[in-house]
Amino acid sequence: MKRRKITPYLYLLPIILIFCVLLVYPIYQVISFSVKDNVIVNPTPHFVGFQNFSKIIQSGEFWRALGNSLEFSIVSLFFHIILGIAFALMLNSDLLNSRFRGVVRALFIVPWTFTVSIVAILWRLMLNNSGIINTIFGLSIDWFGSRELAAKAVIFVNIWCSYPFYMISILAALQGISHVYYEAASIDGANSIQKFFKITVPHLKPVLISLMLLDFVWSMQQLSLTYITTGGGPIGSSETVGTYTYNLAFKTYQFSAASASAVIMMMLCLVIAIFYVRRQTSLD
Amino acid sequence: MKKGLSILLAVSMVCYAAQVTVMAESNEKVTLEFAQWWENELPEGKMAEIIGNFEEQYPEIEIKLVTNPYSSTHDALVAGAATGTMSDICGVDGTWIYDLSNMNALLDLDAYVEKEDKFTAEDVSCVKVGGTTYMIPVVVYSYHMYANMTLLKEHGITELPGDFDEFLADCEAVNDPDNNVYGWITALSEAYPSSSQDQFMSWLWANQGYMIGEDGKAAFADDQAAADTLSFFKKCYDAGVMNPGVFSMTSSDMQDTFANGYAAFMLTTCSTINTLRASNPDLEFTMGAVPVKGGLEGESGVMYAPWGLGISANTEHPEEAWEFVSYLLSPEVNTQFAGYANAFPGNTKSEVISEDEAFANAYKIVQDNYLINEMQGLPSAEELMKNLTIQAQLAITGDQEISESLTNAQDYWNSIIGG
Repeated sequence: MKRRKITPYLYLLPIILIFCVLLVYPIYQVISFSVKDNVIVNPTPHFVGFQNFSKIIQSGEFWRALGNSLEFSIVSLFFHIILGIAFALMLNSDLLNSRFRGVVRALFIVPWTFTVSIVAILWRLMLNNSGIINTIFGLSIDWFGSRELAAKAVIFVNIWCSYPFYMISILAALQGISHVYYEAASIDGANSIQKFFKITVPHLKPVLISLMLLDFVWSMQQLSLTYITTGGGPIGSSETVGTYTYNLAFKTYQFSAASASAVIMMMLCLVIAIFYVRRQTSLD
Repeated sequence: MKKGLSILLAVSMVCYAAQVTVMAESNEKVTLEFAQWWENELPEGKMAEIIGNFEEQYPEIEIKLVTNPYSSTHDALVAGAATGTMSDICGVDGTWIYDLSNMNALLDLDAYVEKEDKFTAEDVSCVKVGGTTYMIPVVVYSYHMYANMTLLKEHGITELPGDFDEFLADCEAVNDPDNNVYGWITALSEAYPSSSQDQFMSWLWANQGYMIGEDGKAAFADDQAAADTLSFFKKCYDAGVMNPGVFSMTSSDMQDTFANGYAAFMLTTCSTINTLRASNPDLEFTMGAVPVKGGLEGESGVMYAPWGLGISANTEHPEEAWEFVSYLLSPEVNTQFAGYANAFPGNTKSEVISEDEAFANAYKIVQDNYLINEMQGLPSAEELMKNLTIQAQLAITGDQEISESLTNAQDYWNSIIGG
């Protein structure tokens, strides 16, 4: 009897160990670093309480980076929803025959298959002043070098590489909506727009909310795309919390301050994650 | 019972396998990990050739190359230093030394240099922090103004510009924005962390300027050469002869654009000779001195950057690691390595050899002037460079007065350096 109670936990033990090593311990270390005076470069760090957090919160650069991160996340999220729904509706419609649909679906997923570094390098080349985008449209815009456009260009690239995730998830949800509802609506005289808002959207709502919560958290933590495309510049105009934290650690060697910044971001994402988990639990 | 026996058997097998592995490893070579960015900047196969020759001479040592781009190598070293997993031997830049030594990441090399028989401490440059040697340059690169002679000759220009006015005039002569051709390709970009050192300070030093005063504090806000250089940059920017991507370019973007013939002038290290020859063998280019302000006389500072070697403080094989370092610094091998790299050897007893005509020009310039780089050994050097980059961007775009930019940068530098 006792063995039967222990057995499920024994099966879970490997994943629990991996979870502890790869997640719990690093988080503990970062929190531990954040409350000490500078670790790594200081052989005898001491506990300093919330001094590092106070320094970060009083830093104008942090708030600018946070603002940029919020803009990045919210704008990306908005366009991800629009593009995701649009492409999913197209793939779920009768506009494409079944053979062609498979090919188009594969092509639409392609941006999502590239790693972030490849995407960043690709778009750096394409949006170069002498790149193909400027050449085709007859422009002479320094997309990643303009204070006004750099952040927007990075957001555009993020939208391009991440919309397939929304598309696939929404497509799966669309295919789960029974045709009976649409047939009934047609009989009742509903037009396409009414069917979309009265039938499709309510059925997609649970999936959309989940996608939005995940996308927000992932976008807020974004580092690689910004770092490779603009480095956070010019003049910090595209700096996000990710690049700000990275520079604190690897350029100024303020590992404790960087840890404090990371903990602040973790708390912000944790709030979102709690909403997500509570929502998932209520759906179950 | 059966389950218990199975578990016991499994554990026994694991222990046996571990023991066999340990025994096997003790009979094998010592493998040293060598992290660097050099392999991609040397002609193809040359790094492997040098490593191969070393392994032939020292069959008990195997070198495992870990090659990454320059900035990634730095980040990997910092991460390795923080976690105690740094590579045994590290290619290091002088701007990283202060911070790596503060992290106790590098081995004290003084004792090894003292007992070395292939060279003496006077033959090489020992880069020290707090009186302790942590890095020894294997080769040294100088920075020069590359000139696309194909493009310049098309516009009747056969002589390289000597001063600011000639430089601007030549840039304006070749400038053709409609066809994406610009006189001067340069970068002051956060995506290119050392851009302010490579692209701005090299001009300042050429004009006999200094970043650091005799008291060790930043003192360039009052330096006339700094103001003149930044003013000239703004003048070129306003004249439209600077490439439009100046605030977003990386070093490799610059090199690619120059190699493809879209710019007349580019300032970079002489290691780029190999890259240009490989990517566009038909490009006719040469190297000249960085132009100076009209009327300036005397020797100019020529910026240099070293490829240095350090040994991890955590290495399990410091003696073997030093064997590799001393091998690369031995006169014969150092001569060969510097020849491949189109650089100056770190060992002064080595010879300067290079078959490249462009490098011969660079060598002559260095012989007629003096090498300088005040960023070597400064704390948080990359952050200092980034701050200066941002201040320079503000000045060049006219968002801030030049004097204000220099003052802001100097104040920030002194808050880090400790002035």
